[in-house]
Amino acid sequence: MQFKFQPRYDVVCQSDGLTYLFRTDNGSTYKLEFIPFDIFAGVPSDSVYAFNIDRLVRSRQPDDTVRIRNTVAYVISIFFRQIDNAIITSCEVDDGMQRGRKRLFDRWFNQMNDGSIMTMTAQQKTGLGLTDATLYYHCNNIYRRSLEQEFREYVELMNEIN
Amino acid sequence: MAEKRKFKSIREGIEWLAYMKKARREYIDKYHTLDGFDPYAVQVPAQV
Repeated sequence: MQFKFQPRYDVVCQSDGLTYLFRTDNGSTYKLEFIPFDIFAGVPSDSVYAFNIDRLVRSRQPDDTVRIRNTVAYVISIFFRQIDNAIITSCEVDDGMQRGRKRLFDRWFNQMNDGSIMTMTAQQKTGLGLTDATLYYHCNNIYRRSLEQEFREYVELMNEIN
Repeated sequence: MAEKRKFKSIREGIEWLAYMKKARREYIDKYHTLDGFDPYAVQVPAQV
């Protein structure tokens, strides 16, 4: 991920090493959290995480979305220093805004990815609605073959069901 | 955070993720923080 020399907000990493907080100039507070997500049979349980972005406090003034994007990319880049890590993202589905959130995150990702991070996406019909689940992993991830094989099988299953 | 959870499949995990995200949003709306929120305590309703 490219983040050098890009303006971003200062982040505070909590003691668990998986949670980051930052505050915008206008007072919005964001929490970025990697939650251990043990869903692959052939990949160690401590290398796959569900990535969450939550706004805890919303400013009345519009925030600088470029700096927010850069801050999120910076945190993700820290995470991928451990190249055998992988992330799963899925946007909240019950408020009907999941497509917009996914488009925004995809745009941010495409703007910041230097080609080292690979993705695979599937759609799943959940009890709350249709959601996109996206897997992000480093191209040199030692478990890449297992990640791709298992996720591909999941994609095919979802295509059959949907 | 409570003990980690092992999912039987990616499908089961993504189902849980959808409900976990909903629960996070509701928790933030109520408490304006995620302190004390345990993601692994979120259960997928049995009828799903």
